[in-house]
Amino acid sequence: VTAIEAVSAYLPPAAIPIEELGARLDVDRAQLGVFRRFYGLSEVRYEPDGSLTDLMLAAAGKLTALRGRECQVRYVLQARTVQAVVPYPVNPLHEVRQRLGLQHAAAFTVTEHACASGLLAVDLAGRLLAADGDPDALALIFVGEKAFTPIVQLIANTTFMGEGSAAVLVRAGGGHDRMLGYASRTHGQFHSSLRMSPELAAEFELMYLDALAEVILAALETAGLTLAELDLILPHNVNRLSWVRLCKKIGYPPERVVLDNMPITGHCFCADAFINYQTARDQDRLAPGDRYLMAAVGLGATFSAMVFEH
Amino acid sequence: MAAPQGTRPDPVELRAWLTNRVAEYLRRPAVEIDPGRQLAEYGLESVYALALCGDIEDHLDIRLDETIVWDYPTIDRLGAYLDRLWDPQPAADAE
Repeated sequence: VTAIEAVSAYLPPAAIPIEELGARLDVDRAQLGVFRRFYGLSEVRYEPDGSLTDLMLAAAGKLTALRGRECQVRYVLQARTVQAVVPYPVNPLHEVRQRLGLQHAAAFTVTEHACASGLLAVDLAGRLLAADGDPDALALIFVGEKAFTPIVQLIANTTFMGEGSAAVLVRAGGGHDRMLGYASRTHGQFHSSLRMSPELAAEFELMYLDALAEVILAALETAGLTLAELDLILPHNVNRLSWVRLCKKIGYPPERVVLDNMPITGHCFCADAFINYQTARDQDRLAPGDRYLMAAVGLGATFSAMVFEH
Repeated sequence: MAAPQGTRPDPVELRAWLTNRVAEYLRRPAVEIDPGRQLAEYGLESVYALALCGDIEDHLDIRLDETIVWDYPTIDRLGAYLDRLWDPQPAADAE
């Protein structure tokens, strides 16, 4: 059974108010007002002088569970939203693998599910480890990336992107944080992603809550659980209101969704649910045996949910 | 929600005010806005539906459920709902 061995999250220290970002990106006042007042967005984190390699190493540096177990790491994955982030032949993933002494591990990137690729990477890593059959083997996954161009700093009408990151250690041996279920749906008609026509964007907006609700309930069904048995949701940090509406739709208490990071991180690509996992642990909101669900949506459009037992 | 503290707005004036706000967000003349038609059908994006909610809160000095524009999706229904907030026991008829 795929399981999460450990998670470490990193938030860069520089906090940029959304109004400052909005001015740079030509976001109108009405939108900015809605972002702050209704979406619960306040600032996002940036590391202007740091590279993607720095962002990954900062998360790995806090992953104490990795220390002394480097030889057990068989795979190093980077789950990314953006396919091309550096000029060839620069390769942050290979740099990080080298710096962490993991040259023996196979390294590759997963981008197919955009911002939902983090959950895909967990599933994939678990499957690879299970197929290998070594109960001590581990996979190291990196999530979070640079908001390095205007097109990845803002999703119009929806959210601002930030630069938080996380490192996730995965094993295939069960124990704590066992994956109980995973569901993922790709609605390919929205493949044009950020370049969707206004009509298609409106269609996406209309189906968004239904699709998210469907995949959450499907993941729970795979896990053999009901919504009432779910203790916590670790959401994406796109905006607070989308979760309030989702909760209203499915009948789930919004206070059991970890929304605390929304005002200080914005949407950190594939890293949101893992950053929220760290927050839930820090706040003692996960007790042994608790069932929690990570949810992510990638433009393109992939809706994913993964259920775990802590 | 608790009864609003401010003065009850005139329903006709309120509907005209709502129509003007919607027209501004849609960048269309107010005369083109049919108060009985769903705002989503005009292509009013959700972010501006929320901006409208904020405008209403500021204009009437009240607090609203942030999903109000989805619950009452036309100017007529929205206006009628807002008017009833000043009734002793407002009735809900959200779609």
